[in-house]
Amino acid sequence: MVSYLIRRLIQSFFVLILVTILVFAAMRILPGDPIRMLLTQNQEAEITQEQINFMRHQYGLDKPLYVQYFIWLDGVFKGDLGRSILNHVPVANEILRRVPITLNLGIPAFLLGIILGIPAGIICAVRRGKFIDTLVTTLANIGITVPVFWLGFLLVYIFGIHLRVLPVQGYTSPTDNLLLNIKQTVLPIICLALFPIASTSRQTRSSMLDVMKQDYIRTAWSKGLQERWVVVKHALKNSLIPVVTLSGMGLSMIMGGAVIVETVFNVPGIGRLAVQSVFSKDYPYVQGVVLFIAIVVIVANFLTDIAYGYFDPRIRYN
Amino acid sequence: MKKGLLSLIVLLSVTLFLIGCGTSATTPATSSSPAMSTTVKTTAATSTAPTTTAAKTTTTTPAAGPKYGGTLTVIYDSSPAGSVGYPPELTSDATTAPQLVIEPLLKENNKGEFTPWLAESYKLADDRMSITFTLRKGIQFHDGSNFDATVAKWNMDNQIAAKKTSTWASVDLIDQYTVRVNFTKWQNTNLSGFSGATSWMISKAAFDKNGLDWVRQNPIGTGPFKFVSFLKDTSFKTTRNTNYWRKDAQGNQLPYLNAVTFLFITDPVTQESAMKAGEADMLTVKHGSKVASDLAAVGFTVKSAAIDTSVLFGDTINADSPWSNLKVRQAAECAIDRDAIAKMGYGFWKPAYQIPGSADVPYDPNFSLYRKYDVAAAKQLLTDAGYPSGFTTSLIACPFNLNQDVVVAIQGYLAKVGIKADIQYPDAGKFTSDITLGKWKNGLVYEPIAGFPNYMTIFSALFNPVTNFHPSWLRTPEWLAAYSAAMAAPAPDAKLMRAFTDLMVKDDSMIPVNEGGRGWAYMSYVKDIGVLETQLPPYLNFENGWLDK
Repeated sequence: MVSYLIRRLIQSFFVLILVTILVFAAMRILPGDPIRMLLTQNQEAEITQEQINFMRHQYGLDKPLYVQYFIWLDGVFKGDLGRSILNHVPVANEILRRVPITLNLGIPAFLLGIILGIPAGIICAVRRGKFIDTLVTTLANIGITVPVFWLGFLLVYIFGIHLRVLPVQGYTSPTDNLLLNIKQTVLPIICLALFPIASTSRQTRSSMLDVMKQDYIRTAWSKGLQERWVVVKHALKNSLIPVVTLSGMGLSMIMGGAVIVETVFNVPGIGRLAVQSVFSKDYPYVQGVVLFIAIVVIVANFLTDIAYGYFDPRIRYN
Repeated sequence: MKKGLLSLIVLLSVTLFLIGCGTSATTPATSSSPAMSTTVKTTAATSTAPTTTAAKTTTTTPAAGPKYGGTLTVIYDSSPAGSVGYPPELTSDATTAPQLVIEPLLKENNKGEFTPWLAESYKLADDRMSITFTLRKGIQFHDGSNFDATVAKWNMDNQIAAKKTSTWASVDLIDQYTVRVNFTKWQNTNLSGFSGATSWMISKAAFDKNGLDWVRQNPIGTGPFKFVSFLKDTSFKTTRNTNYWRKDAQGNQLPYLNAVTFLFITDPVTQESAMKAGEADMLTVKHGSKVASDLAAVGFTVKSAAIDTSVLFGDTINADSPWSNLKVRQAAECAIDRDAIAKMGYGFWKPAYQIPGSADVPYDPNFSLYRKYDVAAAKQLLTDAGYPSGFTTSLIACPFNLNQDVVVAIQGYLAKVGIKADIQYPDAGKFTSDITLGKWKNGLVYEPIAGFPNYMTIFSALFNPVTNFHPSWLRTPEWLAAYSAAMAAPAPDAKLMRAFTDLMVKDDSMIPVNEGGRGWAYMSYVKDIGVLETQLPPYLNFENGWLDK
């Protein structure tokens, strides 16, 4: 197991290097020049080629591309992701400021996906074809298909404007005002959690139904075990491997979903930073955010692999 | 049972869908269309009290006078992308919130008139190659340091060093409260430079003590409000400066408000929701936008000005471009129904037949040089130009203040006469790099021409022959002469400005399409904040503002 993990770590390192090259190259290939963009934002001033050259030199963007890349990579190894071209703030600081905000939405949404999705799937599988199965399956299908932005605006309208029980936008740190934080994050978390809850319940149901047909489950029934023991002790653990895979992917999908939810609810998380940096061609931010998301995905995959071994002892990593 | 349950679920879902998509339940019975009260400069919704909550009720009890206290919450549609505290690095959008904290030497109103601000007076040299400012005495920055000529010179030297102005050559220190700025050339936009962020004064002592990185994120000015915090994409918070140097006409200390907070919300639906939910008092709106119309309909005061005109201009520099042919350009003008397009502005827009907007100084109410909508004439002009079957071109939409519906409408109108336009929506980076500063071939650009109190400002920025902007747009000798004459005039001259903008319409090198501009939607209890009275709509007179609630 240890040697497997070391091997995976080495592989992950090369994946990260590849990601840095791809994102660095992609940002340069995409049309648009951050310096020209920065200068042309001020419509009151005349812009000359001399100014453009001066600024480009100031930001080191007049150096050959490979030199710029290695300068940035050298910084990454030292924990310095560079500085924003637009606001000069160290990128690492800005990412560190925003990560807790995104996690404040993402972790509860992820946990809700597991806490509500798995029991819902189990109930559906055990009561297959009954009223509760139909109800949960219908709701899960709605949850999978409903667009997050639409749901967001619907919730804002109902709870923010019509009932006035929850704020429609904004974010306050739980350390500043816990109650306001809870109020502000309820709706974004519901939006983010809906898809994980729905997809986890569907996957759990399908997986449980497969397991429930197995011989050892029939044996358990024939031994006269109570239903909850058959379900929880014999069926559930074996049906969770596909669910674990889905949850691992769900963690990275929550990062993606955050882009939309953070925009709708005006939450200054990592998703909004990514979108705005891409539009403003703020290379250091984009590179930093993509690197961070790549690390999250790699860590999620890692945890998924480790979880496989727990749920199915037959899986050994050689 | 199962069928019944499914029917119930479907019914519930449809109900929820209808609730989400339906019109607001807050529409008052007596709201009037914005078009009913359109004026040249202001389109104010005069609707009566909304039915949402008491907080939004537009009771019109006359106020006894300004009251102290309260926090004004303002929603702005973009967060400062760059620095908020170091003027040489401020971009246009980044100045809206820091205007609370940092002040300029002069203030300019919406008519282009100047009021000495941190400067007590100013004198332009007879040859107009320098300007001398006498500064106010006794003004302190928020960190307690003094504002004087040394600090003013340091601030302006920073702008010159950062190459943020091409018209300032040097700054001379005359005495403790007098500075002279020497120009590299005279153009009548020079004075506007002293009312904008180029002449914003920050504390040199704070810079020397804390360094550039700190100052970038911590504005220390002389303004009516002191900086508290700035979080990108979130908020900019300020609190009352109790030592502000200005008093009102009765001698009362300004400002009246305890605090002003800017919230940065980019999504228009979220902006509108936040206003309707009572989470903010003011919201910046685009002139003729749906948000402005919606908020006017539920009783918010909406004031916006048609200071922009979105225009079409083609690749006229390449001889083989269809757009270099006058008859093609005339055909395009005849092909577009601008009266119909004006109806897309929710009652706020007038048809745009000239380049200045109806709220701009050079606007001519009797303008008659345009060609009317005439599809047959457009087809004939195209045939005369050698394109009887039309041609294919690109319609490149500028992403700033973009109204995509108008772009699609233009595409439709051009198609009717045989011009097949492939729409391109470049993002801001691509547009500025490839279109504003680069060359495009055979394309047609759709871009707003933003109006400033001195209408020359935008032309100085976008079409000045010195800059590289829009190199694919031909500057004819006739146009250059008219432009230079308007720019060199001792003061902005409406007649001269009309002369060169008229030329652009006459030869269809620019085809006005629709109005644009900005303004504010706000609660009726927000008083004396100076909506549309200042240099540009995003600027307000926060020091005079107060809340009547």
